[in-house]
Amino acid sequence: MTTQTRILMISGLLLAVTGCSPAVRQGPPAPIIGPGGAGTGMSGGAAPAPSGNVTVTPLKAPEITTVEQTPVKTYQRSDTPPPAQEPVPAARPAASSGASAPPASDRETVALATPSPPMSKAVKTLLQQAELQRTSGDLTGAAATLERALRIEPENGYVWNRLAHIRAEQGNAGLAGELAAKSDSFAGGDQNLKRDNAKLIAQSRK
Amino acid sequence: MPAGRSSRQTRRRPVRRPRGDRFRPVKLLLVLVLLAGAAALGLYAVYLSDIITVKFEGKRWAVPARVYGRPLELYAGAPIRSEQLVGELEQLGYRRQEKAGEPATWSSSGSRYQLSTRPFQFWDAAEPSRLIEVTVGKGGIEQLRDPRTGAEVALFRLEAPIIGSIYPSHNEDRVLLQRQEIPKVLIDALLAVEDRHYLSHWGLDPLALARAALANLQAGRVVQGGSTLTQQLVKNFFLTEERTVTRKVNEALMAMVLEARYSKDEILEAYANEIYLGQDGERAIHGFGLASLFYFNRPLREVDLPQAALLAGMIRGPSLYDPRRHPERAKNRRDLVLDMMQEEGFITAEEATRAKAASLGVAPRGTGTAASYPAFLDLVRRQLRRDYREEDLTSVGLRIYTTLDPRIQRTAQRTLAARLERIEKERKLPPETLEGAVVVASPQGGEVLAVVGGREPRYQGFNRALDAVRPIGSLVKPAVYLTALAMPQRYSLVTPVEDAPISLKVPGGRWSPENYDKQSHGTVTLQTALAESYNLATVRVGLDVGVDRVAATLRALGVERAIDVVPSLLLGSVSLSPLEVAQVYQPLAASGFRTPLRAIREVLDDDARPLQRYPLTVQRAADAGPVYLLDTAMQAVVQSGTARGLNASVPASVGVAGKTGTTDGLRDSWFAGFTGDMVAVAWVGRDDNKPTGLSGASGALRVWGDLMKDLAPGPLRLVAPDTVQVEWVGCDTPTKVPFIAGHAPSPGQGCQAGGASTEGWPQVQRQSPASGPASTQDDPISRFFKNLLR
Repeated sequence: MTTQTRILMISGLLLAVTGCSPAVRQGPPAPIIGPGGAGTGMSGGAAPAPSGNVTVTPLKAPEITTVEQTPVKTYQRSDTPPPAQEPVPAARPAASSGASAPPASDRETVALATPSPPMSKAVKTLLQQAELQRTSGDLTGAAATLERALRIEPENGYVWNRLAHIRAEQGNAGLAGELAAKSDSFAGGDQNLKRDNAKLIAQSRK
Repeated sequence: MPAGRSSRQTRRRPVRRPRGDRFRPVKLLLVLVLLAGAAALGLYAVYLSDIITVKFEGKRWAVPARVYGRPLELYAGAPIRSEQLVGELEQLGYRRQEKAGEPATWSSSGSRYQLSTRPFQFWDAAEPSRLIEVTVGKGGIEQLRDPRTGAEVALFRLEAPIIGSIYPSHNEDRVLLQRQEIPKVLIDALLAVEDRHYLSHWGLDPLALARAALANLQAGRVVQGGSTLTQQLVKNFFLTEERTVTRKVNEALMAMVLEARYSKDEILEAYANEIYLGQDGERAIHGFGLASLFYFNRPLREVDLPQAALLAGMIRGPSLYDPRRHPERAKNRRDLVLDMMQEEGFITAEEATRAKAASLGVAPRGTGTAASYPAFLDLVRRQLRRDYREEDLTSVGLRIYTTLDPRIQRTAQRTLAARLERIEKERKLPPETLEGAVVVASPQGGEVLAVVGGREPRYQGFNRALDAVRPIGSLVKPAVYLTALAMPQRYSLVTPVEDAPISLKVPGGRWSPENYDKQSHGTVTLQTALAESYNLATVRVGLDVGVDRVAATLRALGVERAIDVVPSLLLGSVSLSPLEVAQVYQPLAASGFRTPLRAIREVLDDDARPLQRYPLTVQRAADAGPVYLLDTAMQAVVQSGTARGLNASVPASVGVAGKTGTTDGLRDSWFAGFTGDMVAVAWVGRDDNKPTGLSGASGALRVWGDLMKDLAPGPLRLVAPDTVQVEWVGCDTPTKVPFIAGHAPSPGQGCQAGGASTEGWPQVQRQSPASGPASTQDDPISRFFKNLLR
């Protein structure tokens, strides 16, 4: 073992060195000192975390609770992370205008063909982004983006409706219905939006 | 070497043969002892080497979870004014320059700001550094564009500010660095002041030791240390603080083993992360990474020469050279380090001179990671503990993205402390006897924006926002009236109710509630009863609708604690914390939709991979119609009722809806209310629960008012749901009153008796311009009003 021979050599050297090194230093210790209480500065060494790769997983696997004990879904990474830049078929320019109408019937959306309520460019951009995420299968990402939009315009019924659709696609009909009802409270005179919300609410009661 | 020595002695043997014989056994013994000693030492070194390997190659530090506040979203139309934008940049440690250049700099000309942002890893994406131009007008941000291309930018989020960390019980906090993240200028300063021969020595520096010993001898005390960086690291890593020869020898041995086994860079990296550099309350600041944030509010890669010199100089005595407490001393020390750097040829004389002229560059306390929001972090920690093991929180470097809005948090901290002090002075109360708490959340999203747990916000003790569980008094009344308004066939806002003495038989005696002013007010409308917070009327309404129903309403709104279903519940005998009250009021601010309050948005692991989200959820807690009616009545509380004092601080156009609360003997002073963008609760009282002499209006309401005055909240625009119809009501001065559709009284009734307004009950309906002619004279409500006026 080369390291051990090295150590032997070093220890030999050390014999010589310790011979001529001055006596133990008096007074304040060397620069690295712990705060206030003695030994605190050392505690980093005293409490090493277990070595190796530590993987953290939330304690309650499938569901976690929020402050208010409402069951919410744990974020689950899909095995194959959806490519955010997945090429969108050219025949789907709707994605850039906020909503597309994917073939599946359960993905029916409030068509943006109906005049949507006046909304800021920021929210429009986020709606487009969420729609891209949704069509590429990244529903969790889409929900996060829509929540971001809601922080900017919390009373935008259309955004609440989009979030309801995401939850419905995720199979959470109950939450989808509640979100649709919330969307309805901001729908004003938008009959299309109300009709779509009504559908979601009806589905949640099945 | 021992072998060599013994062979030399063998050669001498023939010469000294006659005498040597006598000593021969002794010499042999000596040789054996030496050999054994060397072997033992060798074995010992191997043993030490093992210790070192385990420690050095394992996970060396528990890396605390880092907690971030909300990132500020910039977009055209954002209600962000200049001072708010600048304040955010200062909090983030951005430097103002002639022209924004490298990351974390900004410049401005007039209302136009150019920011060069820091890159940041968000939950959903990595945002690279970019240059962005923000035009700010009076109403907020007007335009956002890329100054290089001129293209408009729809929205952009600044990096999330660090607001704290969740460190282990031994209180060590650090931001882990890798070797390549340590700027050269800092390494230069470090080597110049602590270990000049670091790059060439093998763990020990005998020359430095000798020099130090000489200097110390001459001075008669310790003025210099001769330990190498390696020795310092060893001492902190593996040894205790005792000062014995054994420890010193161990230290030297281990330093050499460390040097033999690991590269200079590896040792330097460990040193840079281990080093103790200061104290923040009970939190110990370890490593250059955190120290840079703590003292300068900027990441280590952005420190300049004088700052690097200061950090290196502080190693010798972090509290002695604390630049916040001893700026003079710290500056001298820094300048000394600069001199040493110049001596070593790391910098030129000119550079040294320029660096010495610079200020210390220390960020004031209260910015960046030096600001601490223990009450909010407490909430975050409690929420996380449900989902994560404590050791994961404090050791694996999680990134916690929270909902905290630092601007609102700081404003709440400041206004609470200032107002309590003022109240104590005005009322000649003993100083520092009043305490308080504030919670602010977003109405629709349920995000907790600020939590203040007491008037000394940096104090980590009793968190009143979460743990001061006090009777809520009249704050319960909205739940009573909401229960009533949900029965439109029996109650509307103008339903007359009796504010007259009442006495109830309760277990253990009689209960005879009184009004705050000890008076009875006769017949009043339901809205007036709420606005003026009449107890007797409330008890009558509550008994009429049923105490159990009121309790059910409270549960639906979000009370999770057990509720005693007794008549005194109607006057707020239920005890809640300010945070719980905020939860109860949130659905009232959101058309009846309850959203569980959340303090955390996302959790990422140490590689910034998404781990968990806390999504936005909603649940219908109450019908929109009754909530709308209640909200208008709660606006009347502020317009003309017990909270009218608020008009002095918040413009009427905001349309605040709220409710004051006072408990028996003036022990607890409450105000809970909401605007368009905030639902907030303030509590004022004493820790020993003694009377304060403050009502809700004279205590908590003023705290709330100060807070909102500074925050300039968005207006509350109540939108009547389809289930509500608005009618004109009143004879002399008709007013619009909302009713649940189909339950409005027939118009034209009630004024036939002469249109006289009786005291406290002026509202009588008259011809409603909005509706058709009277249909029937005999509907029950009309009869009711007629009887009333008789």
